[in-house]
This record gives sequence, structure tokens and C-alpha cells, in this order.
Amino acid sequence: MSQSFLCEPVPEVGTPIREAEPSADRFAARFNRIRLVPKCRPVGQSMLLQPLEAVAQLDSELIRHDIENRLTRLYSAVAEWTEEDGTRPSAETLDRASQGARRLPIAVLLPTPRGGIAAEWSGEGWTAMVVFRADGTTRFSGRSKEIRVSEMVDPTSEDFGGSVVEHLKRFIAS
Amino acid sequence: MQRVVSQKFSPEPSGWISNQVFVPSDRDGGRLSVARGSLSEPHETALRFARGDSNNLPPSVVGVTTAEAHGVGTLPYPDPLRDDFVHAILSFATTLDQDQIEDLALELRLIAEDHGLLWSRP
Repeated sequence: MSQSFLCEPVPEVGTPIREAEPSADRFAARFNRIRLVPKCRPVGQSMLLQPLEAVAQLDSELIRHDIENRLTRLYSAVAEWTEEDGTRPSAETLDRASQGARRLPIAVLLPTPRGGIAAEWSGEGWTAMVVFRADGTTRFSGRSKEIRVSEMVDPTSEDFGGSVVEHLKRFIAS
Repeated sequence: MQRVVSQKFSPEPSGWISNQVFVPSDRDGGRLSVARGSLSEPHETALRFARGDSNNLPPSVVGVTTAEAHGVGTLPYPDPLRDDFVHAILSFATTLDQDQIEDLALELRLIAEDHGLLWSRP
């Protein structure tokens, strides 16, 4: 029997964060809180999206659009960075982070006080980040009550995005 | 110990806070400025940060207890200033490398999340 799908409108999942937000921001806000929204869902089935399915949606137009918005906000944050905030990220670090962020699940992107750029995710009881550091290295780290992960990563490697997604899946499931 | 969250580390409208709230800058020399929760209400800490200007309030104030700060390996101690008697320091050991500082920031962020926002901008 063929399965029918509802594709529009995007259903609500969990507690809406801000009803008035544009759909891309709503999607991103939910992703960061791991309140995930499927683009399509089988009719009559639960509207809750399993984390593994959600991660598979990372190539959608909606998310690509949101990443560009987030990079624009990151550039603004770097431009407004002051000495009081810490070391300003260099153009090289910003460029490396911009390239790397396009290969990652939607994240909050922001400068770090030590001259790097962080891509961060968090959910209830866990937090994780990739830091593109000023010294040219890149590191993934995450914490929950059960899981601790810290490892250097290579944003130019083929499996960079995939390896981060694998870590995030573990945190989402924890 | 109350930590004021800078707007730069709370860029989302949802009140979400970054792990970077607990990362000291190179200039800080491993010392994060905090306020003693036993001497200051969170809204007072926010107002003090804004130098009394309610138009300049930070997005939120978060906190960890002294015991929790000790528990993850940071050293909290009072550091009263002439114009800020509740000022204190959350000190990261100078021997820590960047990996360890980032990991501590994650631990502190998780603890702070457990406590929730102690105060948020109306």
C-alpha cells in the first residue's frame, strides 16, 4: 500500500518558540532546541520527528537559506566585536569557519573570546560545539550527563560534517 | 556566583545562551568576572552591569554555586572593587590549555542550564 504524505504546511512539533518568526528561523530555532520539524510526514502518524530523520534533511533549501542568514549575522558580530569582548577573529579564521559551517548542521555561529569562531548546538541536558580556533585548529566538544566527547577535527576532510552529525545524534539520543 | 550574559553570547531571540559565556578571553588571563549571589539579586547584578542604565541591560544572568564551580575545577573567590563590592572572580588555572578551558566552559554551561536563567531582560 502506498503511503501518502502531508507536505504543507509544516506541522508544529513541541512548544512553538515564536509563532511570528519566519519559517526558516522557526525551523532553525527548533533545530537548536532539538524540537524538529519534518518537511513531510506520513498521514496519521506521529508528528514527532525522530532525530535520525531530521539530520537527513540537512540539504533542504530552507536550511541553506538559513545558513547564509546566520553567516551574515556572524559577519556583523565580528564587525561589532570590541577589545572588551576578547580577541577579534582574523579574516582567515572567519573564512575557514564560513566554509566549515556550510558543511555542518544548522548551528548558532558566533565569535569566541579567544579569537575563534564557534558553531554551537544544544538541547535539554546537553551542549556541543565546533570551534574554529585562531591557531588554525578545529575541535569538536560536547557534554551531557552521560557523554563527553572532545576531539580535533579537520574541516577540510570529506567526512567533517558527517562525523559531527554522528556525535550530535548521540547527544540527541542521550 | 552570577555571570552576566553579554548580548554577543545570546544572539537568539529564544534566550538561548552560548558556551562562550564561560570562556575567559586571553586578556582576562583565565579570570571570569562574576557577582556573589549571596550579596546581590540577579536583577541587581544586571543593573550594575548596565551601570544603572535600564536601556543597556544584558539579556540574562546565569549562575553556578561556589561548590559547583569548585567541583569542575575552577576557583571562585571574592574580588570586591571600589565601585562594585559584590564583584568576584571565577578563576581558571593558568596551566590549562585551550582544550581544557573549552571543556570547562561546557561543564559550567550545562550546570548553569540546570539552574535556568536567574534573570532575563523584560
